[in-house]
Amino acid sequence: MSSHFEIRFDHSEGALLRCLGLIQRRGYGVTEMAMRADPDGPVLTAAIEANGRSVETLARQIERLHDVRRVRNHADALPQHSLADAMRAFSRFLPILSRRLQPATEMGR
Amino acid sequence: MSLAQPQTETQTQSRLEAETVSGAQLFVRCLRQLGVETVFGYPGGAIMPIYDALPDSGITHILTRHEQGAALAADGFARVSGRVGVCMATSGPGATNLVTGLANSFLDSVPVVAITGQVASPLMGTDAFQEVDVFGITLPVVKHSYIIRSTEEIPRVLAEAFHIAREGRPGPVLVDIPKDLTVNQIAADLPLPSFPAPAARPAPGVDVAAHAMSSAQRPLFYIGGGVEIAEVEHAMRSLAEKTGFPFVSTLKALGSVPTDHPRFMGMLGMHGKTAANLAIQESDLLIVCGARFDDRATGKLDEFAPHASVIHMDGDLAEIGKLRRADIALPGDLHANLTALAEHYSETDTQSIRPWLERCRDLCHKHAWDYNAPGDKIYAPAMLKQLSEMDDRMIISCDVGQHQMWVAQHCRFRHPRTHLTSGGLGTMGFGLPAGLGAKLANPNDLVVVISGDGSIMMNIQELQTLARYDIDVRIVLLDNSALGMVRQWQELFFDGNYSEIDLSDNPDFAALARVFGLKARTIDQRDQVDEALDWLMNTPGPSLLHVQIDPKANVWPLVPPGANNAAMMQGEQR
Repeated sequence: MSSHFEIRFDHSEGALLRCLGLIQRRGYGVTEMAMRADPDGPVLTAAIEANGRSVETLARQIERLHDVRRVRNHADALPQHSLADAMRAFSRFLPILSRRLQPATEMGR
Repeated sequence: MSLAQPQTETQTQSRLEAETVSGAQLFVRCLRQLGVETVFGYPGGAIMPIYDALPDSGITHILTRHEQGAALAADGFARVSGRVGVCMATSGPGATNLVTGLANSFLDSVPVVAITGQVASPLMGTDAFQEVDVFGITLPVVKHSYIIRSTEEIPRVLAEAFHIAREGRPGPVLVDIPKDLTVNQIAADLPLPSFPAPAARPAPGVDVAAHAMSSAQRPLFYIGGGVEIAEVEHAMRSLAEKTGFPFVSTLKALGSVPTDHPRFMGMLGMHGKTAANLAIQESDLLIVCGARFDDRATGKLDEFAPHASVIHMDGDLAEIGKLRRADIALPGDLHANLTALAEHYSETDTQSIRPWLERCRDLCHKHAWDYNAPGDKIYAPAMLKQLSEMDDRMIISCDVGQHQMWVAQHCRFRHPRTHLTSGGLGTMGFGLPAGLGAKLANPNDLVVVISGDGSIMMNIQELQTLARYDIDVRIVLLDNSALGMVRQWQELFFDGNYSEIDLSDNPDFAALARVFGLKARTIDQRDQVDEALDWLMNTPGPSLLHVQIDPKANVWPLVPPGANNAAMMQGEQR
């Protein structure tokens, strides 16, 4: 089961790389992600597979990064930054539509 | 009016010219303002403007003979002084040679700032000569990193880098600066930002922890490297004295707690003292202070301290509950928590733990080290113990391997920041450069490097750095003509299939040291030890004592990998 994180960064070079590298290196997997530019800094939302490890520990390790301002662990929410996100959130109730929407469509945002 | 105006413009112009400096000069001025007195490094193309600005800066530059030596010397300097160590290298191979040192500092939480020159901004991303993405390469092994993108950023980035390196849980910070930014002219009076210290309060739950301590029957302190990092040795010792509880330590905490204290039970873990490992397994309350349940300390985690509740104090919240659930978590400032804990403990009714103290004393007595090894060959544990007791404040910088564990087991440490060891990364080649960094940080202390015949060859070139600057480091080289720790594991866990561990073709180390300009001698018999150690201690200047020991000597006890800490193997003393 995935956990859904919202991670707010400072405007800082390499912040996203540093964060994603940490998640991967610590043995967790990113199954979906989306990035948006808020005026006060970029925001990453990601679905993270814990692979049997502690989600709380991961959140603390991400919070420890100098350019991370805040980490929120949403137990039930999906990333909703685009129309595709919103459609997928809605499509949880429509199994066929959900299979057509691939997570990769948001990877480059 | 018409005359006055040009005059003012001329004055303004000349003042501006006087206050303009190159980016490199600004960079070096900022380092000086941040308190930097010593930098370890190696020059090259992309960092030449900074080297051009160094000579008149008031900063002493120590030229090591390899960038890894610079990074590890900065690490040793920082461990001993508590200040930020600084190393410098050029782009490309210079930068990549720093990486092992940065990883070493990262895993042992040592405050280091590494400065790397980078190819000029327009060339970045074009595979230019000596271009490498050191920012990307080092991401997993630094606390934070910067690429400076404009000359104006230099003061802010450097001030932040030094602040981040030492605040909270310390660590290495990389600053990569493109060459063109060091050549640009800029106003000289850009201010350095400062950072207020955060307020330190005890964590909620200190009273609950004090109550748990008062009602425990078999309490034990488990003390880690965080105590030295937070400089709370005094508060830690006060609490230990107030409670009267016995204590064990990790490899990195040796010295933070005096190893000759009557209630010190020894280092725990894979090569820990039997009494310490057994006490942990029997305890009903572990009070963990600045330790992180490392696998070398805990053995099989599921069976570690099976009867104990855990009070976990750590400055780094992410360490609490990472590997072992904390029954009472006390995150945050260690000093505030230790002090508050001592106050609350005084106010509680304490239960007698006399049976437990007697049990611990029995364990220590029963499992005391035995130095009566048979034969005439030099018994390394006995020699190291003897050496460490020859000076009250000796700083020992050791390398990695069997000798590292013998140092931890048998040397006496009474003061914090006197035991330098590569605990997290296990970097062979650490001892010599870290030792020279330590000596430059504390010139009045005796610094001894304990190395092995495998490790010394990893950074042997730094003997020339000792000779060049006449850095008075004494080296004891324990030579078993093998990669001893690997040989021991092959003997025990790989059916004696000795693969690529033979170093019987080692050079004559004493002759080699003399070629580098050190005084040196070799011994191989037990009856030579007293006189040789006297020679080492009383001969000023850098020197090397080459000690040939039994090639089959092993480190005991040993907890086999994956086993519980009570399952210690014991073998023959050589």
